[in-house]
Amino acid sequence: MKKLLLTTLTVFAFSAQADYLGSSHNWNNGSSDPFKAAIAAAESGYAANLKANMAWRDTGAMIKEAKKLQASGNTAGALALADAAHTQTVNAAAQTVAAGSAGPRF
Amino acid sequence: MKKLITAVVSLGLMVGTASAGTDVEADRKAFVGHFKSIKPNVEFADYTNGVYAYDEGSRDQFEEILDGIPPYEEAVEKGGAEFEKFGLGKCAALADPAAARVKHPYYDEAAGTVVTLEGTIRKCYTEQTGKKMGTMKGKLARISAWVSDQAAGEKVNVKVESDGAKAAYERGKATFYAKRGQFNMSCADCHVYQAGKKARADILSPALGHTTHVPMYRAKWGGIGTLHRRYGGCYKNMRAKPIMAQDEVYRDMEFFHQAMSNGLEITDARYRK
Ligand code: HEC
Repeated sequence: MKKLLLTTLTVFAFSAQADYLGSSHNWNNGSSDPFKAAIAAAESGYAANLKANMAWRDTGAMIKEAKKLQASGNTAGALALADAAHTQTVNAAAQTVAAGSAGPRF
Repeated sequence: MKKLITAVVSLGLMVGTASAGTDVEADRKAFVGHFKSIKPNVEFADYTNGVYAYDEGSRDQFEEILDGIPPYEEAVEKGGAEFEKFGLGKCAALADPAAARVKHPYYDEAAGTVVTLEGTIRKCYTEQTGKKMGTMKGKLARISAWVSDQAAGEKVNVKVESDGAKAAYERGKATFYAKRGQFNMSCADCHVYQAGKKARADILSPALGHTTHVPMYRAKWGGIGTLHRRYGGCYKNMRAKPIMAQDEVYRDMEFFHQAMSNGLEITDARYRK
C-alpha cells in the first residue's frame, strides 16, 4: 500500500512538472508526435493568455485551423501553424509580464 | 527571525504603498500637460470635441452635421421613450438622469467594484422588466445616450478616493498603458503619443476628451455604440482578443480613462466618422 501511494505520488509529481513545462516553454513535452506536442503547447499557452486577459486576436482561430489541417492530412502545414500559434502565446506571455509595470512615459 | 520579520513587514509596506502612491490629480495634470506640449494651440475646453479639436479638415463637416439633424437624434429620442417605457426612473440610481451621468463611473465600496452607467442601466432594466439587456448597442446605447444628454454642459468628475477605488484605477491605468496583441501596441501609443497623427484615413483622437460624448455615434457603425464597444474594436485593431464589454477589465479601464477627462464638459455632440 505504502509503495503504491509512493508510486502514485511520484507519477503525479512528474506529470505535474511535465504539465508545467508544457504550459510554458517545452515544445516537445515528451510526445513522439510533433503535432500533438505543438498543439498542446499552443493550447496551454493560449489558456494562460486568456486567463491573464492578454490573448492575441487570432491565436484561437489558428489553433482551430491547425487541427483541421492535421485532420485533412496536411501534417506539415498543421505543424507550422501550431508552432506559429504557440509562438504567439509565448509573446503574449511576455507582454503579460511587462504589463505589470506599464505606465506613461511623461 | 528578526530579519524575516523585517522582510515581511517591508513587503507589506510595499503592497500598501501601491495605492497610497496613487495621485489621480497629478496623473491628470501630467496627462493634460502632455497634450499641451504636442498641441500648444488647442485650448483645454476644446478637447470636449474629441478628434475635431485636432482635425481642422473635418471640423466644418462636424459642425454642419450638428447644425442640422444629427443622424443619431432619433435614436437618442427613442432612448428617452424607452427610459420611460421600462420604468427606469423608478430605480433610485437613475431617478435623476443628469446626476446619474455625472456620478458614473464610480467605485462601489460594498460591492468592491467599479460601476458604469451602462451597468446601472442594465441592472435597473432587469429589475423593472425581468429581462436582460445587451452591452454594446441597441437599447442600452440609446438609453445611455439619452441619460447622458441630460447632463450636457456639466463636467466629467470621476472620484477616486478609497484604497479600493485607487486599486481599480491603477489596474485600469495599467491596462491602458500596457502593450498587447500582435502589433505590440498600447492604447497610449495611438491616442497619447501619436494623437493628431494620421493612421490610414483617420486622424488619431487624443485620449483626453475620449469620454465626453459617450456613447458615441459612428458613421462606420451606422449607429450609436457604447464606450466598451469601441474598446473591443480597438483591441481587434491591435490584434488583441477583446474582453467582454462590461467585464471588470474594461470597467477599471473606463474608470481611469474617464478620470483623465475630469473637468471637461459632457456633450451631446456624439457624432464621429
Ligand atoms: C493602432 C492605433 C490604435 C490603438 C493602439 C488604439 N486605438 Fe483607439 N482608435 C483608433 C482609431 C484609428 C480610431 C478612430 C479615429 C479616432 O477617433 O481616433 C480610434 C477610436 C477610439 C475611440 C473613439 C474616440 C471617439 O472620439 O469617439 C476610443 C474611445 C478609443 N479609440 C479607445 C482606445 C483604447 C482604450 C485603446 C486601447 C485598448 C485604443 N483605442 C487603442 C486607433 C487605435
